[in-house]
Amino acid sequence: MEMKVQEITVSLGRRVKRTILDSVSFDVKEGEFLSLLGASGAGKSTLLKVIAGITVQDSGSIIFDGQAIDHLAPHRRNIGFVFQDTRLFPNMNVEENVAFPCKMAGMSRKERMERAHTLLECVQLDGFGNRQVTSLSGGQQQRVALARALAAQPRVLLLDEPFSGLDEDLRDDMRSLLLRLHRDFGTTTIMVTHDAVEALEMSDRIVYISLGCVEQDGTPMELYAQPQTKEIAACFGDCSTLEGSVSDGVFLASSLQLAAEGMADGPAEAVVRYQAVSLREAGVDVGHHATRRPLLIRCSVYRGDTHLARVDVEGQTLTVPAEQSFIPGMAVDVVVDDQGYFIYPM
Amino acid sequence: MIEDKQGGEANTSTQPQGREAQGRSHADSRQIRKARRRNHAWVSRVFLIVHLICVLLPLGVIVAWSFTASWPWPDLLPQQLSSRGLVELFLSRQGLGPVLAQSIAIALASALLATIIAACAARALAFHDFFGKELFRFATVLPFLIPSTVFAMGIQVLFIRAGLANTAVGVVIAHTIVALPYAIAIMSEVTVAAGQRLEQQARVLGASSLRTCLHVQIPQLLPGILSAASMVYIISFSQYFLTLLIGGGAVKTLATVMFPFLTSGDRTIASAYGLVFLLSTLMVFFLFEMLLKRFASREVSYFEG
Repeated sequence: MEMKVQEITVSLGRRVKRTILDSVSFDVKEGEFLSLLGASGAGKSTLLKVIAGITVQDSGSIIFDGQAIDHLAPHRRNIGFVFQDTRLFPNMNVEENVAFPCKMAGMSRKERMERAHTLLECVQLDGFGNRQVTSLSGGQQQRVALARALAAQPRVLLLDEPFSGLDEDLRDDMRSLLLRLHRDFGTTTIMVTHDAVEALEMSDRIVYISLGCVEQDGTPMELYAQPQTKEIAACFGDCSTLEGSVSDGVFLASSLQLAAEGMADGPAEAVVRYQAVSLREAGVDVGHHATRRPLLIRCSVYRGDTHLARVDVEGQTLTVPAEQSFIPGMAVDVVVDDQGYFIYPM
Repeated sequence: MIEDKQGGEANTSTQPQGREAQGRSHADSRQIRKARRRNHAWVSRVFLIVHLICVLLPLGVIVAWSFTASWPWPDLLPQQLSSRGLVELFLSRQGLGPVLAQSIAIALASALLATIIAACAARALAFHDFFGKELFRFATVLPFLIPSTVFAMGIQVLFIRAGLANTAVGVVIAHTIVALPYAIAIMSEVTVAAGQRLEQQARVLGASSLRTCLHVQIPQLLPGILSAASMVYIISFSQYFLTLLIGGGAVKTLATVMFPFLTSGDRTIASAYGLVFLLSTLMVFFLFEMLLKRFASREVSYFEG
């Protein structure tokens, strides 16, 4: 199903109105897996609730296949919704939970039990139909919630941080399960997440939301390679943020200088990814490096596959992965790869 | 860290002793736990005895009195047995059956009415914002603050005008109003605890608000609903003055029939009525419990799932 979100604005709060979403617009294509990425409190979940009809927007429109559905109550929108906290009905067993949307859609008992059975097989829970939901583990509960959301063949599947309540090793399994279901069922899917790597791995497209506004809308590659804002550049983790200033197309923080072509002069911030930086012992000339004068190592931490050296840049920290540990106080030169840093005006 | 490692090595090098020590510490902890349990057992036994003395002893006295003609002080046991209580209950003109039936019917009707109103009020207070909400919240506890006698005097005039005086319907309404604060207090607690999570989930899965209520909310709130209903039931069932004033003597309940015997000091008959009172209430509560078991047989949890 094709979906359009058009200039959705939402303010909440009784006395003091706070704008949660400010004129948010984007399109979702048929069968697409779209992630809404952003820090917590950015308004992603609220947007999902507006699409579901749980929260009513102040203005703007949600359009399913060319038809505005703003006047429809939540239960008439035919959507599947998986919340972070699973929300299984405790007064029903696993099978009845999965069959619930089918029951609401008016399917006969035999039909919906068959459907529940099929879906439980899809999420690798066959034979769990008669179990009580409280007897299931967190991962199993989330799989039941997923099966239930897909049971009534929804027009769109909405997922609100579906894996953030699970252990790290379970999350990977759940991600591949979800991707498989998406491939098999072809349901248009919108997932809210604050985990940028999760969004990269799973999505066809990512919409980055910050403070209620869309900051960037693009493929995972676009977001990673050309982040539009400092927040997006930093959200993928493993990076250092340095404050400095731009003059004559060069960003300068202490003695570290980075090319900033086409940028206006003035204070600026640089986001430097760990893997774009390497260290050379001061005085050993390897040609091109980014430091005018050597910088000092503040400390070095062990991280398993690599050491992380913290380089002091006038009180700010530049973190660099290194093969060996560095002694604090050592002078080093820094080499920065052109692809791995981004500069934004402040 | 280093010290820990050394400690670990020391342990492995002297494993046999280590194991023994472990065994010993297990035995110790078992003994400690047993000793603790013994302490707890002692405390709970004391509570049990106090409870028996406070509750069952007076009950026993009532049972004894309902078959006793006289029991003068300082005799430990009743001196003369009597069947007057039984005769009054089962052979008197007004008959126990209709009175008991009417009492139970009025109490059940009040319980139903008050619980429905309380559930709605609790929901409004928990999830909706409206003008004067705090005033409304305060208003729900007002009947707590006004003595029911004062309330009865005030409402009687109104009921006479409305044609509700001397009718069972009027009595049900009066009882409902008096019992509402208790029901609202209970329902507010469980409604807030239950939250709107499951309700939202049901709605987005295609359930209308009516079906959400039937399939999700009522099962979820059932323990609270039955607590509130029991509370209202017992308040209504034991109401005397209000029933007398609003019912005007035309509406007879067990409490109004029993009360004259209590005030006139006829302990035999009062005790016999007391016994019926107790047994019928227990029976209704037992029914409520069965309902709970039947419809909320699966574990209901507010904080998980």
